[in-house]
Amino acid sequence: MSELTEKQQQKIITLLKEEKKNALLAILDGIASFLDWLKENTKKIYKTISNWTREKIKNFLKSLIDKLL
Amino acid sequence: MNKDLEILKNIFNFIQGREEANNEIKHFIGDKDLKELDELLTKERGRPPKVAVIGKAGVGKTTTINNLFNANLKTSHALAGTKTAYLKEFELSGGGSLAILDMPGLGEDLDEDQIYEQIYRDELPKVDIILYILQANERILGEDQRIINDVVLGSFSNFVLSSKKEIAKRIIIGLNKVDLIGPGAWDNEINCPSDEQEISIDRRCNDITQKLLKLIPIRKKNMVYYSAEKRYRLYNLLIAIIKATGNIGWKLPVNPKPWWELASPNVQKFVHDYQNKG
Repeated sequence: MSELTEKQQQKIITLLKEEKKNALLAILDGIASFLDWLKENTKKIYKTISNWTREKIKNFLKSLIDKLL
Repeated sequence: MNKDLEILKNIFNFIQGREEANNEIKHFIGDKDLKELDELLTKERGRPPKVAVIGKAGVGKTTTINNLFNANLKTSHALAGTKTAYLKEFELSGGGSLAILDMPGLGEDLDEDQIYEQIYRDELPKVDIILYILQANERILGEDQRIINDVVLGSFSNFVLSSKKEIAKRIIIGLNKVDLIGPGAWDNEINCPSDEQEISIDRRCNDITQKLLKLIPIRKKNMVYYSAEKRYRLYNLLIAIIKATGNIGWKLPVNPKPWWELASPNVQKFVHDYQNKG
């Protein structure tokens, strides 16, 4: 088996990072959709957890941005 | 791992029924509300999202479903060339369930199309999402455009205009088989397009998207190019579907089959080492 070139390794890492980012986006979209569902089905629980969950999403995204800057 | 991310992943796994809520969520929501929520979710999960998969024969409908949702649907010869609509409900290996509505193929016979249109009219308004798949490497799009406008959107012709706009939001156009677009060849070692092919794919899919946007009332973000066979850009398709499914998008599994499983053993080893390194 021949060794992977530096360019190939970089390409694979880029693809893996892209995949990880998209997996996270899919999860965040899923949670956002859950909050919409919650709002329509149980206002009481929605009130309890929506702000808390959105805060977690905000904090997570902020930490990601901080990491990038 | 980032603590907020850990909690978000746990919330997602909990709502999908794959994990119990962790202590932080339990503490925050409280036992009584958590029990109520758990019961509500269990009931709701019993109603899997209904996905209608449409496209001409050979566009890759089954491969798309299998690789996108990590499913194991078989292409049945009895159902190939089906003349009616079949609803297949199945459990997914990673948890959750899905209901796929397999529709009769269109665009092969005008007389039959007229019969099928009634089936579409009856069935499509009952689904949560419509995935229309076409082959991005094909030059002729006229037939697909006619089917989307006359048959798919035509199935909702009795609906008021505002509903029609809502319906259009629930239609995803999947441009499949981009691995066959040239010039440029697929890199089988890594299992991704070569640099040259990536440019061709981008150009070709932009071209198709612009043409379709002029002809059908569907949003650009609802058109996604991918290759089911090569598992390329499956997440992009999945995200578009989750967004379009609205308040039940959370029921869809986020577990497409990994692209690198189809790469060379050398690349698979590299990916394995890289992921273990964290």
